[in-house]
Amino acid sequence: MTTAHQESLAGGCLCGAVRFELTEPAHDVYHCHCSICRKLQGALYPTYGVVARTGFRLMKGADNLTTYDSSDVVHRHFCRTCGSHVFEDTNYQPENVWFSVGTLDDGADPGGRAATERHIFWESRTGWYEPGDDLPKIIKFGDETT
Amino acid sequence: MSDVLTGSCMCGKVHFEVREPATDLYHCHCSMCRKMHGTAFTTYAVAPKDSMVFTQGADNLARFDSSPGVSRFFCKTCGCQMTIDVAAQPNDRWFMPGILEGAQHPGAADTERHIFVGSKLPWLHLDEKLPQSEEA
Repeated sequence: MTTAHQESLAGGCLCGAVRFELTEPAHDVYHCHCSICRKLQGALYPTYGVVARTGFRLMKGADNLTTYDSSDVVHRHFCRTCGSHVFEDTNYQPENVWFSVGTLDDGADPGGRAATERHIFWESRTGWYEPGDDLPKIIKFGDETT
Repeated sequence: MSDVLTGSCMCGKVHFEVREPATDLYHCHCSMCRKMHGTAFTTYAVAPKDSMVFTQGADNLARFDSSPGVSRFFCKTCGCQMTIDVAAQPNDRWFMPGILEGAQHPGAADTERHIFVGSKLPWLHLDEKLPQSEEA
């Protein structure tokens, strides 16, 4: 089967001050249950897509982003008007950008899910909400499944 | 078990206490909440406003009105979405259970449900044990 031309996906924060485009699909998608991600986004488990930096274009609002370094190597960018966490950079994979899947317009599929979608930091989950899917549950970040 | 729930943002500048159990608990799948948090869905608990007290850092909150009468408050430093005030329900305050210390249960387990499922991510699998509604 030939691969169809990938249409670009667009996303942004709620207020619209920050906008981005993906010119290629995510190559990695996961739901993170760690306490840092929960507290940063005020959710039970944020969902991230990873895309090559060459496939991520910040179209608008770079000057409206606040960066919070959740560690020495992870830099999270959120809209200072509405607080939406839009994307993050890391020192250990400078060739990639992580984006918050919930910021894609119209609930778009980020791509890359068939091969990679999983839960990570599973043992840090709240314990009172179970996602109820059959996705792999990884203990931390690597391949250690529960 | 303590009756007081405690929560904070990631950077620790803003702390709050909820001194009575929540009265409502739900997972929202609307597009506005997805974008607000950048997540596949969001989870909210509702508590009596009088029982919810900011114990540190209230002056470090930014306010965004996502629609008329709906004011969302997040930490200016780390961007953590923390609480919501709704003008139509002045005696209540919404908070995010995901930011409670030690992943405490917010209470109101008997009300837990999915709302605005008609807007949910088509590919997101939901826990089928909880009630669902198409809208609010």
